[in-house]
Parts: sequence; structure tokens; C-alpha cells
Amino acid sequence: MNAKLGITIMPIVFGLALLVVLILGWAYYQTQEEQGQSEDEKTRLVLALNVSHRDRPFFVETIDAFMKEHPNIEVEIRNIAGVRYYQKILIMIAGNVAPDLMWMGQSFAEFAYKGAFLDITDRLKDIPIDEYLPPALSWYRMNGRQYGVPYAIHMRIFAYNKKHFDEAGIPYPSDDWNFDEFLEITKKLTIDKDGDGKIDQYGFRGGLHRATFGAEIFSDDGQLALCNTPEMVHFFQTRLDLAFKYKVQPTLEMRNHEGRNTVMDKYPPFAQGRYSIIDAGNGDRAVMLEKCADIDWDFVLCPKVKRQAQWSSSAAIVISADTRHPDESWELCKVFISDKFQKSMALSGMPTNIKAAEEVIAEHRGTPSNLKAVLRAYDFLYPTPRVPNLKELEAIYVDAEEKIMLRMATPRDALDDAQRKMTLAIKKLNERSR
Amino acid sequence: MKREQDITAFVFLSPNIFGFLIFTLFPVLAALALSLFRWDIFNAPKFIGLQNYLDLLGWVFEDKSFQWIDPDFWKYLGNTIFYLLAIPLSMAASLFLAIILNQKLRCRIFFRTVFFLPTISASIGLLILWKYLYNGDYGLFNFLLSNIGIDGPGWLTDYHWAKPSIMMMMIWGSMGGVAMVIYLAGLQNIPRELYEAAELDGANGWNQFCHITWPMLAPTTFFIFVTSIIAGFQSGFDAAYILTQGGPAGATTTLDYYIYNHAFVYFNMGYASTIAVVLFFIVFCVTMINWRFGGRKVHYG
Repeated sequence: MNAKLGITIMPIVFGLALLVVLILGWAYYQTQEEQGQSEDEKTRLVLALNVSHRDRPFFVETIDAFMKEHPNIEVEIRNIAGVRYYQKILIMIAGNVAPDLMWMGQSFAEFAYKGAFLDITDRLKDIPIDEYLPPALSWYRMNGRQYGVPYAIHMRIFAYNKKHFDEAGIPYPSDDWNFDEFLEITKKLTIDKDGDGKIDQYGFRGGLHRATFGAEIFSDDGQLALCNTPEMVHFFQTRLDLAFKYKVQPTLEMRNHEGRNTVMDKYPPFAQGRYSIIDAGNGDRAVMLEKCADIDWDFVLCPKVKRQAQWSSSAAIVISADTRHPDESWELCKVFISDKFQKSMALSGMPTNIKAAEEVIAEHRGTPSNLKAVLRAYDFLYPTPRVPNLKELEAIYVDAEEKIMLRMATPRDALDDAQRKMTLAIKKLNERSR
Repeated sequence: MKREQDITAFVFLSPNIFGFLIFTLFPVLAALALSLFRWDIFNAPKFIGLQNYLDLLGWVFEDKSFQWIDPDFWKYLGNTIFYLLAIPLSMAASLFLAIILNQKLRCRIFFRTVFFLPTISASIGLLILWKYLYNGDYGLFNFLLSNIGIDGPGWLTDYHWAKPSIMMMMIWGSMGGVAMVIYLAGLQNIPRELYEAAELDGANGWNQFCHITWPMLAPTTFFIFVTSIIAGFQSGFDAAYILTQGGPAGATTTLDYYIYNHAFVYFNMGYASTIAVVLFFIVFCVTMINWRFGGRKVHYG
């Protein structure tokens, strides 16, 4: 092509570029027009969920009932189940196609700090707010404003195999047990059955919760890294001792052999009798009832070390700050806050409505017989603090945790390193916020 | 007439040109610009000059020693470079396969297809297959090892085994791929007379390989080496994403995966762009070095 060609083709280039811009602009305009208003003038709401195939039918049923009651509202469910849920939501928000309502859990603060949610503080008068667990409400509060009301609480709770206790002649553990009792029990339950020098039945699989040691990764406001406190060092040293000194639980390498600690990885070995006590979740009850149907198991609270504490998380449906239909969205949101919906979801998480939770306990029959432990734990729930850069800070902690548990570094060295990195990350976050 | 031909040519080329401008050049320039900003996707980007570069490549004097501000970057750069060690092995395997497939074998078309299959198969499916093969408890490798009394390692879960395991997988995936096809084409371009003359002189197969095949394939080898190095610096993402999530303890995190984490998990778009730009310069410098020193030793024809 010669130099003259440049002059010749320039109008064509600009013409094509203009055409592309016009097409894109028209497509964007059409998307905006269609979003929220369907052909028959119904208000259209998009609800993004991150729920399992077990929970999805409850949502579908609830939404069907809602649409019957509100014939002018159409709700579309987009279930983006999986670990990349938050990423996809972020990209939808950034692309200006945020769903009207969305499921939120641990990463609530990361979005709330960015102004992604509708403030519902003034709308709370529509619901009996006093019936809800105050700490659970506070998890969805930011600078005194409420952005959501969780419908379920998930907590880490221990599950134990009753048969193993019976065989060892040990009484079942009680919810107020302490670490020394826990250690003695796990020692007795750790058995080399065939005498080949390899342990066939471990007393414990999982992790104690750092909060029981009085340790936390960072302060509640996320401004102070707390990785290398004496409590944290004690916590990790105890975990190492359980695996390498007392050998009552498998090492991290051995656990990793079984998978990445997902519900599909940890319950089958428990059901097969490889472990006597595991850290389970109250939200995994449906999975456990299915996977561990052949054994007799029950729940017990995590043992007290320095204090009693249960790691917890929660789930809520929040409204996008960008929704064109805040009133309709709030109408739908109220359905998920209702005690009726919360009770229907109880297998996947205990209601935050205390009355509904008590009813679930009262109506419960069968396994686990100690379901009331979940309600008892409402007094000492310790969720990971809600901070804007949770993932980044948690990644630093997890890296240190792996180095310690794989014995690549001593707890002191790994935690000092994590402290330095986290302090820097917090400083960077503050700079970003300015 | 000439002008019409030029316009026709341009019209035919325009989809590709526009594709390149919109989906390649623009993102590259945007990444370059974004590396000078702090941006969390939600809020407007904030210009911070070279701060991201200082955070990435800088160091501080702390506890009587110099420490990198972002030591993870150097660790993951090390992981990325470690994976490059797979390239010579993969190339050797590709050459070996190409030589085999260049023989007059029965069903050689079938075998060429079979060896090329991993390249055209969905990588996600292959990775999931490898995940099962590597599984510590019920994977095929440990099952075979247990039959001869060896307690196999946690291939993907042991800190020391995870990287070599992924390297083995990479070699398997690439040895029968494009490199093999290019070598095959290279082999078929070597004049038959050279081998005939060598045979008359009494040269055996090994001598023929060393003195004819290898030198004649030098340009091909150089091309495969350079492109593999470029691709190698950008590799490891899918394995980390699907198999290990970068673990254990960051053992399988490469710069690609680190960029992804900063961009789409931590929402640090500016910092992620900075890592991408630095990676670009590393690849650029290494390629230049390859051309400068490697290119000289290659004889064309």
C-alpha cells in the first residue's frame, strides 16, 4: 500500500469507526430502555443469587408466590453459584447492569464501602426489627445506616460420630467443654486399628476457631493488623501440636489429599469413620443428612479455650443503589426477611429472626438432636470483621497459615511477615480511600 | 484500478484491523495508562504517577535489612521462571515425536491426530482430568505407585511437588502441539539428498541427526524457543485457577494469576496493570536478548 492510500482510506476508517460507535450506542440505549420495563409494562426485577441447587427451589417457590401477589412485577433469577460470585457481581455493577437485588454474604462491606447498596434504614419500620438478632443486623450496617437484613446465619460447629464415642466408652461432649477436655477426648479417639503404624481413625479433622483463643486477624474497623499477637501465635502453635505433637488430627498435607475442604470433600471421610469429630457448618445440614445418613452424628459447640466463640457468617438479600425500582425491590426484599422464608431455609442457615429460630428448634426432630446448640451460640458469634479489602487481607493470612501448617516457617516468623504485609495493605487501602 | 484494489484489500482486512484495535491495542494502551492510576472499578481512577511501580519494584530498609515492598511479586516471578524450565523438555519431546511421525509408519496420520488432540481439546476438561490423575487418595499415579510399594506424594498439595507436577502437565500438553507440527514441517523441508550423501559416507542415524537434522532445524528451533518463552511468561493461569488456586502457600501462583487476583479479586486494577506492564517489559527484554545472542547462532539454509 502506498502513502496515497492513507489519504484514500482515512474516510473509510473514520466511517467504519463511526458506524461501530453508533451501533454500540444504539445497543446500549436499547439495553437501558429494556432494562426494568418489559413489553407488557410490568416492572421487571433482576435478582442475583449465590445459592446451591438445594436452596434454589425455595427461592423459586417464594418468588412465584410473590409474583402471584404482585402481578405487575416480574422477577428474573440469575443464580451465579460459586466462588466467583462476587467478581461477577462487581463486573455487572461496573458495567452498569447491576441486578436490582443481590445475595450478599461475607463480602458485604467490600461493596457497601463503594456505595453499591440502597440504604434501607428508613424502610425498616415496615418490619418487626426488634425480633431480629442485633449482632446479625449490625453485620449489614455501615456508618450507622442499614443496607440489609440477613435471612440466615451460618456458623462453624463441630459434628461428632456417636458410635466412636460409644466404642471408646467416652460420654458425648457437652456444649460447655473446654480445650483440655477436647484434647483428651481426641487422644482417646485417635486409633491405629490394624496396628500397621498408620492412624486409621483420627480424633479430629478441621480447625479450631482463632476467636476462641482471643485472636483476630485485624481489628473490627480494619485499621489495625493483629496477625502476630501472642494469642495468634498460641492459636497456631496449638494447631501444630494437634497435628504433629499429639497427632490427633491429620497434617495439612494429609487433609489436602482429601480435597480443598469443601462440603463434598470433608463429609464423606467423616461418614466413612475416618474422623470422630470434624468442624462442620450448621448450613451444611442438608448435605450432612444426605452424606452421613449411615452414621449417628450430632452437633456440639467448639470447645472453649480462652473464651467461647463460634465463627459465623450470614446471608442477606440487598438492594442495588442503582435500581430503578427501589419500592418494588423493597417489597421483594421483605419477603426474604420474613420469618416464613427464614424458616423454610433453616436447613441452610439458622434464621436471624429469633422467634423463627426458636420455632425451628422446637419443631425439629431427629438428627442432629443437639440442634439447639446453634441457637445457644447466638450469644457468642464471631464473624470475620467487615472491612473493605477483606479478600486482600484474608489472602495474606491464608498464605501465612499455609506456611505454618506446612511447616515452611515457624508461627512467629510467618505471622510477623503477615503482620508486615497486612499493615502495608491497610496503609495502601487508606491511601486509596483518600 | 490500483486504488480500487487497495480499497478492496483494506475492506477485507478491516475486520481484523478493527478487532486488533479494539480488543488488543486499546486494552494494551489502557493497561499502560491504568498503571499510573489507582482504580477499584467503582470509583473514578486517581492519578498517582509511578507509585504503583514503586510499590511493586521498590524496597524498604527495615529490621536492619532491605526488604521488597511486594515480596510476593518476586516469588511469583520465580515461579513463572521455574515453569520456563519445561520449555527445553517440551521442545525435546516435540522434536522426538516429530521425528517418529516423520517416518514411514502405518497409521501415522492417526498418530499425528492423536498427538495433536491435547492442543485442540478444551483445557478445562483436560485440567480436571489431571486433577483426578494427581489426586493423592484415589488418583491413578498414586494407585500405580502404591502397587510397587511407594507411598505417592500429594502431587498438587505438597509444596515441593506442586510446581513439578504442573510442569509435567504442561510438557504433556505442549509436546504434541504446535511445536511438533512446526518441527514436522521443518523435517520435511530438509533435502533428502543430504541424508543420502551421509549414508554413502557411512554416517549412522545419530551422526545424521547431529550433523544434518539438528543444524538444519536451527531456525525452526529458534522460532519455537522464542515463541515458547513469550508464551511461557504468560502461562500457569489456568492450572492455578482450576487445580490449585495458586497454592499450596503460593507455590503455583504465576504472574498471570497474580495479575488476575489483583484485578478481579482485590479490585486493584491499577496495580494489576502495573504488574502486566512490568511483565511485558520482562518478556520484551528476554526476547531481545534471545534475538541478540541466539539469533546469531542460527544459520538459515
